[in-house]
Amino acid sequence: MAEADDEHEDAGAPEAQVTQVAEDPWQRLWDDPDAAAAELQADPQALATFVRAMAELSREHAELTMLHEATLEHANEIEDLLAVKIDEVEALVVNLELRNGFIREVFGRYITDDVVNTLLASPAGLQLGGEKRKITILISDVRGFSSLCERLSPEQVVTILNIYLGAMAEVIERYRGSINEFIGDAILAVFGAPIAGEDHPERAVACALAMQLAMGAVNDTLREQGLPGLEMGIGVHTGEVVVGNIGSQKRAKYGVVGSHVNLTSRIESYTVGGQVLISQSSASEIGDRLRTRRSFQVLPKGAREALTIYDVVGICNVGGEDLALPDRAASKRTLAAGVPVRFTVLEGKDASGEPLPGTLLSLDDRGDAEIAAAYVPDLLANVKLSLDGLDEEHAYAKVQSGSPDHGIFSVRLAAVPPALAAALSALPWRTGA
Amino acid sequence: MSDTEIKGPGYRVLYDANSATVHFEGSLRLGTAEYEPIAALLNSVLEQRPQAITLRMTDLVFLNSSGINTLYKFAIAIRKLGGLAVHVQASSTISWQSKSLPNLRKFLPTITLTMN
Repeated sequence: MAEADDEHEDAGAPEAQVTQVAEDPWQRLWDDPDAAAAELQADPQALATFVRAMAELSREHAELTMLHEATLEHANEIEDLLAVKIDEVEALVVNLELRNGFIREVFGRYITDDVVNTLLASPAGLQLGGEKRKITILISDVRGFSSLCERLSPEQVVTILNIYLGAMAEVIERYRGSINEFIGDAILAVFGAPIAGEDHPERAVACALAMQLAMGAVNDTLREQGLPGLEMGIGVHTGEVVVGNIGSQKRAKYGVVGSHVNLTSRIESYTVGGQVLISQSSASEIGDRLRTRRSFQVLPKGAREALTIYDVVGICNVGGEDLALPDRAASKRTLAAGVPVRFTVLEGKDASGEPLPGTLLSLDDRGDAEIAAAYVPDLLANVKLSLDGLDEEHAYAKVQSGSPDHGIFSVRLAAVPPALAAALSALPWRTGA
Repeated sequence: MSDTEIKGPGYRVLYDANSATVHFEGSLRLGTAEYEPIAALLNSVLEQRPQAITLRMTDLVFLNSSGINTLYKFAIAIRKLGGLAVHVQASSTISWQSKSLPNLRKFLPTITLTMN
C-alpha cells in the first residue's frame, strides 16, 4: 500500500497518473485480500493509513446507503400518490363518459364531435339559458313529400327518410353545421352556433349547394331500391336569434328561437325542387363570391316589408372550394294543341278555392309547365293543377313567372301522382319540338 | 449578494439574500444532471457563510427523486460544513412533504422543520 501513501502526499501529480496509481491498490485488494493483508501487517504505517481510509469509506458508504434509502422512500411516496391519481382519473373518465352521453342526448344525435368537445371544454356548456347571437339558418324540405307518403307504405317512408336524412346529415357535418331538428322530411340546421364562427353565412350556402349536389346519389340509391326519387328545396337566412339550452332541467335541448327562424322557413317555402334560395342578409355577408340565377322580391306573411331573395347556383372559395349546381338544360315539349286544365290558387289574396280554367301549352322534363289563362296568379303562388276529365288526380305547382298582359304563366310541378304523369305523357305532343 | 434565481417551465428556485431564504416553487421534475444549476446555487449560498438559512418549500407542489436527492446531498454538505442553522418551512397540504422532508434530519440532525 506504499503507492496509496504516495498518492496522498503527492497532491501535485498529474491527474491521469493519480487515477492509475489510486486504482491499483484496490484492485490488488479485491484480487487477493490475503496477500494485501500480509503486506499491511508487515508495514504498521501503511496499516494505520489503510484503517483511516476504511473508516472514512465506511462512513461515506453508510451515508450513501441512507441517501439511497431516503430517495427510494420518496420515490415510493410519489408512486403511491400517482396510483391514487390514476384511480381518480379512471373514476373521472367513467364520469366523463356519463356526462358525454348526457350531452349528446341534450344536443341531439347528429351534433359533431368537434362541437361536443368544444362545449365540454366550457363549464358553462351545460347551463340552461340563452344568448342573442347572429347565426345562419338553413331549412330544407322535400317537395311534395306528404302526398308521396300517402302512396307509400310506412316502411318505405322510413327507408326513404333514413337514406335521405343520413346523406344530408353527413353533408351538414362536413360544413360544421349543427342539425337542430328533423321535422319529418324537413331539416333545420344552424351555422355559427353552438360554436361561433365568422364564416357561417358562406358555410351555410356552400352546405346548401352541396346538399343539392348530393341528391343525385340519394336518388340513385332510392331508385336501386325501387323507391321514388326526391326533390328538395333549401332556404338560407342570416339573422339574430336566441340560442341556448331551452327546456327544463330534465328535458332540455340546444335550440334556436326567433322570428328569423320563421323567416327562413318562409324563404324555403318559395323554393322548387333543386333550388337554393337565400335572403339578402346572407347574400350581403358573402358578397361577390356568390353566383346567382336571379333575384326577386317577396312579401312573406307577417313581414312588414318586402324581402329580396336570391336564387343561388354557386359560391366561390369556401375553404378553398368552389361549388356550382349543374346547368341542366331542360328539353321542352310542346303540345300539338292546348289541353284544358283547371288550377286552384292555394294561398295569398287570391286563394278563393275556386278552380280556374286554363290551357296547358308545354312541359319540360324538369316539370316546368306553361299555362295560358285569363287569370294569371302571383309569382311564387302555390296552385293545385288537374287535367280536365281527370279531376280527382292533381299535382301541386309553384308559379315561376307570369305575364298578365299576355295571359301566360309558368309553373314548376311537384308531386305528380303516377296516374296524372301517365295521362300527361299520353297527350298529343308535337314531335321534333 | 444579489438575489439569485433559477427559473424553468413550471418551477423557480430563488435565494433571497436579505432573508437568507431559498424559495422552492412550482413543480420540479428535472433529470439528475439538470439539477446541477440548482445544486450550484445552493453551494453558492454556503459559500456566503450565513449563520442561518431557511428553505421555503410551501409552494413546491412536486419534487421528483433526483430533486429530493439533491436536497439531501445539500443537507449532508451543510452538516460537513458545521455551524449553520437550517430551518425548513413545509406544507402539510402537500402530501409528499410530510413524508420526505423529515428525512432531512437523518442527514442533518440539527435541522428544524415546521409544517404549515
